Amino acid sequence: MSDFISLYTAFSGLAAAQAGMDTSSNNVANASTPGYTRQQVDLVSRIPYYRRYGVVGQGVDVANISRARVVGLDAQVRMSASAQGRLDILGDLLFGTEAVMGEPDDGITAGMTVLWNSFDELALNPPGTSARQGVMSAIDQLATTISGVAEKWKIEETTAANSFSVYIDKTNAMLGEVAELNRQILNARTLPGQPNDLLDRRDVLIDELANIAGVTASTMENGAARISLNGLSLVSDMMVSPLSFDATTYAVNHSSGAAVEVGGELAGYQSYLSNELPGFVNDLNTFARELADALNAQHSSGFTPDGSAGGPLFTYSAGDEAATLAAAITDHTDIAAAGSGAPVAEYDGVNAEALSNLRWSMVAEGGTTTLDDAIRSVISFVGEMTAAAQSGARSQAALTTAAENARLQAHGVSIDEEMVHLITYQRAYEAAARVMTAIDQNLDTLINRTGVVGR
Amino acid sequence: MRVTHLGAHQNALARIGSRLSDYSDSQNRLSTGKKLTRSSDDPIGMSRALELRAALSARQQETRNADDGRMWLDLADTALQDVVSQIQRARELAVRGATHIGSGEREAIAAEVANLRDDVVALANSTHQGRGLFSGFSSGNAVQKIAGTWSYTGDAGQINRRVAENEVVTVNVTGDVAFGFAAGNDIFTVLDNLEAALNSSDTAAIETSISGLDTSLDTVLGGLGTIGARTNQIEAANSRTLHNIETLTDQLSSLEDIDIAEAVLDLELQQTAYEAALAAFAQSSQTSLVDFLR
Repeated sequence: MSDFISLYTAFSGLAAAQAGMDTSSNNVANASTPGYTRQQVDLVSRIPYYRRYGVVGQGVDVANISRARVVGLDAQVRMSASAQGRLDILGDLLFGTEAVMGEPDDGITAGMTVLWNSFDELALNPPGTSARQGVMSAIDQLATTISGVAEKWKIEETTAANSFSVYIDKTNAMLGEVAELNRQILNARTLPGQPNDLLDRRDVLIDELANIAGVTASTMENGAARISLNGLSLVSDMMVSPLSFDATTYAVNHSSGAAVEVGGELAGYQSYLSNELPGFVNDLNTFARELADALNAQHSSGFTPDGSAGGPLFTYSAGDEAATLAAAITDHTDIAAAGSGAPVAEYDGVNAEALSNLRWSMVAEGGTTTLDDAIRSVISFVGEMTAAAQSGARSQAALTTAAENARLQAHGVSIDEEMVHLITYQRAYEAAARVMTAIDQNLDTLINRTGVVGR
Repeated sequence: MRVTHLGAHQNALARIGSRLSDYSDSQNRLSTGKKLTRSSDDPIGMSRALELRAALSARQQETRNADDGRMWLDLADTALQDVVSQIQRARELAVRGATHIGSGEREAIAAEVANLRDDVVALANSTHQGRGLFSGFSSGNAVQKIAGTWSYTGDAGQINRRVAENEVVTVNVTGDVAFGFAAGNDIFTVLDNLEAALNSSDTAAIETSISGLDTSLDTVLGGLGTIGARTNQIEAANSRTLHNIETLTDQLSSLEDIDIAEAVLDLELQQTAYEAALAAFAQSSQTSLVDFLR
């Protein structure tokens, strides 16, 4: 080997610069592609050539085109995304739950004040038809409002349960996609270089899975991703272990039968369906039952104009009190305003007063507080839960954005940087070409201009 | 720190988004005039607001109750005042009848006493909107002559009005107390006796009737005193309730309503911040190294 070696050395420089420019142009082209990881050429100098007088370099090789990925940042982003998913969903669901209560203007509390005042009006004029109609419509209105809230909550529950089921299916489908990508990535390993674009797609998919189900991921030695939840494997190489759920308890199970604690959006739905909403429904049922029982009891101790004892004002079916609450009185002459019977004095409004005074009686929450206080505490409870989820989501959003930004700053494409790279490679290309020209001239001198003495 | 264009854009977008959201919140507050529209805005505040609303509504009802109670007491007061003047007139007549006058004149006086008695009966049976003022809960007449005996035909029902929180006032006096049935000296029988004594010129019986009239007058005046005391009680309670309503309205407003000046200022602040974020992005996104390479 002699002078020709330098030609190949210069050519390797041309090729490396070309690869660098290709990579930069691909980076620029993908500057705004979601999930794209900046790629870089990893250059290594070639194995040198040993000569008598020393070691001569033989140029450069492109060892790999690799992704500038920092694995620790992924884990942070995914942990944030999981918490974010849970709080976002919970916040949205609770927001709807709260909204259907219609407080403070059109809700149960407004209905309560109307009812109490209607009893006062009845006491002012016990035989008055308009006062009696007022009581009837107040009872009807309140019952409709309470059962309306309960009904709307049932719709919220159904909707959330449907979404939960859809998200479980979606999770399983995405687990399948990850397994498929694992397969393609494992296949690609037989080819030279890394399947960067497949890796990017898999990372995007895993990000989404973390947001939906709170999964964690690790990369196995063979390059396949292992997806797991609470240490139970969901995807291992190409094998998927799908999730299933119980439609009554909303507990999620691994295909092995073991219970798993999901994170992310699934956890938001799960928590809402198994914890928050049943709590609210239970409180509202208790309130509806105590309201109906207290008013019915007081009403039955009074007398209607014809002298019979008062019947119930409200009906409900036990176990589902709020949703089934309804007015029991259909005729205003069934209202028992009088306090004593046999015979009933026309203007006796003692029981109407007593009904009105029930508002200050400790008949709710097992006799510890008033009905007004009880419904207020239900409303506060819903409000507090909603506010907590929403403010949690807001503060988590700051963390999520910070984690995503940190990753984007490390993984993303900087146009300025790529321009600098482009210039560097361009200059390197020009220089390598110049080196080739110089060697070519040397060869020209050697081949064409030597040995011509005396010609 | 390495900064990428996509990262910078997303950051800017997030900031602009949050500015816009603040701006629209301010706008909402100003256009609705409310800062507390749902429980999750401020659960404790909303709970307090609902409590205030309930209290306010109860107090408003109590002023209605008080007005109604006042009306009952005023009507009863007027009726009893009339009864007092009738009794006084009857006493004057009785005093004249007890003096040495002719029997013809006594009969004329007796006729007037009979008229007075009818007036008092009418007053005792006076109604408001079909409801007897002195008959308790009963709907019939308060006073009736049954088989030659004056009887109270109402009942002992006490009409109560809640006029303030935890304050109930009885707004009626029943006829059996006001007209002396309960004390065994009812005004109607006294007047009947006076009429008979005048007709029979029985001066001793007339004297007895005069002392009966005095007792009756005391009874009716006692009833008027009760009415006066209850009227005062209602007035005091009502003015307290009205004051309460004012306080509650103020408190509710300070919980629920925005301070307009503050809200306008806040809106301007948010608008400036939003525009600044937009301007900053417009400025910074225009330049990159690409602009300077040639």
